[in-house]
Amino acid sequence: MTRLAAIWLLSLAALASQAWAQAQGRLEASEAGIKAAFLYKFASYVEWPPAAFPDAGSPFVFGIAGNDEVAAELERLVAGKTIQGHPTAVRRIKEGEGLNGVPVLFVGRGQSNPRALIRAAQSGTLVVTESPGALDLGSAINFIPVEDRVGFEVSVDAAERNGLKISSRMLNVARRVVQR
Amino acid sequence: MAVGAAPALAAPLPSTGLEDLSLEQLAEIRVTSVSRREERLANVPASIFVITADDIRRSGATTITEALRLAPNLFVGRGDTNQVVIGARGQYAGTSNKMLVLIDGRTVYTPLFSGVFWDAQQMVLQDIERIEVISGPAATIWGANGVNGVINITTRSAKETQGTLVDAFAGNDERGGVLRQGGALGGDGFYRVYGKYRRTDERQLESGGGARDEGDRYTLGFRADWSAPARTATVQGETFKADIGNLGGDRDLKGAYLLGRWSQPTSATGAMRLQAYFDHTERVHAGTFQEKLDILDLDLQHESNAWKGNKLVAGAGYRRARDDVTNTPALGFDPAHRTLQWGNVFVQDEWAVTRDVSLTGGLKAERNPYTGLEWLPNIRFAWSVAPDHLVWGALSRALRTPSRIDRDVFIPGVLATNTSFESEIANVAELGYRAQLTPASTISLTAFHHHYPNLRSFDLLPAANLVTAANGFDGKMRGVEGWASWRVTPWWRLAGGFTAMTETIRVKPGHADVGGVSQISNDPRHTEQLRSSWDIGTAWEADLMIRRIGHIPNFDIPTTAVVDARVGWRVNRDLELSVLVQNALDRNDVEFGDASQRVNFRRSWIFKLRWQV
Repeated sequence: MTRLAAIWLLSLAALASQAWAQAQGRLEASEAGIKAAFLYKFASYVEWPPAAFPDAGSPFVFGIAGNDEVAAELERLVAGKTIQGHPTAVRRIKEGEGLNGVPVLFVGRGQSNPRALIRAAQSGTLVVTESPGALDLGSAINFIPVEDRVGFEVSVDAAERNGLKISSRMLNVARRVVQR
Repeated sequence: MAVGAAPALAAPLPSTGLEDLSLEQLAEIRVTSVSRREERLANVPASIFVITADDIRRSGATTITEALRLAPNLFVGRGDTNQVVIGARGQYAGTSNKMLVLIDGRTVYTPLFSGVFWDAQQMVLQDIERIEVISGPAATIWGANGVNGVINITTRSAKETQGTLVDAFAGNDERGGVLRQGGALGGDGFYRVYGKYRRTDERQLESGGGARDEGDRYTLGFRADWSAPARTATVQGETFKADIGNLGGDRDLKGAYLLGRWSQPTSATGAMRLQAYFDHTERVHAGTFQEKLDILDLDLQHESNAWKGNKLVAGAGYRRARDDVTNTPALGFDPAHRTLQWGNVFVQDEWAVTRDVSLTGGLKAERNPYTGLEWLPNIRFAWSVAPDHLVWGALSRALRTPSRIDRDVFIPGVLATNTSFESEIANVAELGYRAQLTPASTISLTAFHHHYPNLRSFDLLPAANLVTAANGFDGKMRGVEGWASWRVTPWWRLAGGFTAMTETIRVKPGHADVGGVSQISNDPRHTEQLRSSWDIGTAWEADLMIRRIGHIPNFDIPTTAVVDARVGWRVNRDLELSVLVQNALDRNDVEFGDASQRVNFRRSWIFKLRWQV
């Protein structure tokens, strides 16, 4: 019995040294952090109509509704970065607010009436959601849980309706692609 | 709000640099269990603790009762290997009868005594997705019996358990294994079939001698899920058999259930869920008691966001239990066969008053065969005093409706039936605070006050010189419970929790209780636990859990602290080896029960192999 405890303690000590060396090896992050990073990355795989950015100085705005954690993560992540030459900004969208000049709109689970907000998005806005079945409501990209990872599904039709082109590289990573 | 949070999180979070990953790499990153839980729970105005699948794996537990030790708001006390009492907020004595336990929506408490026969719950732990442990009443949604708490166990969809799993374990006190095979059914359907076997050896009584608690347990089950956008359907079933020993005579248990669930949207803003199950169990306690029980349960629930700022949930349920008890000279039920029926309707609305404040009000009307119609109301508020800081409060009335043991049981010459035993009521006030202090640390604190105006006593009937169940106790209980978790570094997480409470129970005027206050109030006044989960590189992990349980007065069990330790090695993507030492310091670990019948759980170890492809 005591020997077993001693072996256990010894193995623990031996492993401790490894810990410091490999601390960075583990790929884990918060759900909000992963989703924020996805939102940022999506911008590189989508082509917006020229009208979405009236001039070179107009900011690339991420509109976030119904998920403060993603908004907070994204604010931190995009601080000081540019996307296709545009400075970035994160805006928390409240009910009834206009969506003009918002190239990416994320509608989180906390949004009380997601359908209305998704419908309000017009040409030039990429709508991203995180609710089962949201593609049916008109969302273009929907986050879905895949075991303990975050995956997404894409509706090419919904994207095209808003004048957006989604690159085939993104479609390759998607768990499901809806296309007529 | 993010501005304030930003400086604090720069150092510990591993997510810095996520933006440099490709889409493919992002899709491979695991969601840390901490944050997934917090995101869903952030605004729930109740004292709720979630045990994740990863917590269970890292605990090394082989039974559901051991896994429940992970919840700091639960008390888990073993008399022997098979007899376990689990409860929250007190009144664990004998048979904890104020907890509601659900496994995939199936209520597993028995209408015999409103408690759970834990020896019949031989779940496959590897299938569990999460366990929500709510301390405090949650009767409006869950129904009568959710008086002191609710344990809600959810298993994974079959889609998430594809492939083959082999989990084998062996140690000095137990051995067994789990086999699982998952596959596709074509279209959007998936299935899994699984089996589990577990054998335990006889333990030693504290008073010396064998406890006769050895046993063999077998489980065989399946689950199939179909999902189309927004629609899901589930069919699942399980059969089990257990042959276990007991000082009072061997016990043979068997049973099976079949459950179906369907959910679909009813409009753009509404969704409904329909569930039905049938459950059959047989139980033989040699020499004292024999029972066959059939339960049919139907449940319909509808959720709607149709009104702006409101989330409305409404539902209805029907439950029918038919039991057949074989009376023995030692113990009898009158009548020996009985069909019981329950019906309920409820409605609850969560109203977002402002951006930061929400109010929830709900009412359930439940009809039971003993006391007729009962009302279970609750009101709750949640106030985000600052982003990630929630203050909540609740007032609830919950009750435990009579079960067979309160009304129908008799022991010749000792105990008489009582047809006027009423529901035990609990009027509960709670105030809580929950916060994400930094992205890497969370905290939850709850203060509670329970008043029970008519708890069960055993009164003397002078005329007949018999004892009978009555509502002769008035009880008050107040306390605090709390827990916190801290991801110190990306590879090291600490989690701790505690409970502290005091009880005053008195006999009401006009009652001549002979059972004594200790039959209700036999609870440790404090419990504490601390867990350390340490990832050592990508392949190794080391886990340590220390739990301390206060003095249990009536059994005179002193304050005990027990250490469990585990080392796991992920050999490759498919194979994991681990060793768990329970009670690693080999202290006396006496948990619950009478001095002559309780086991001293000395040090034991379990080696585990888990292979998944």
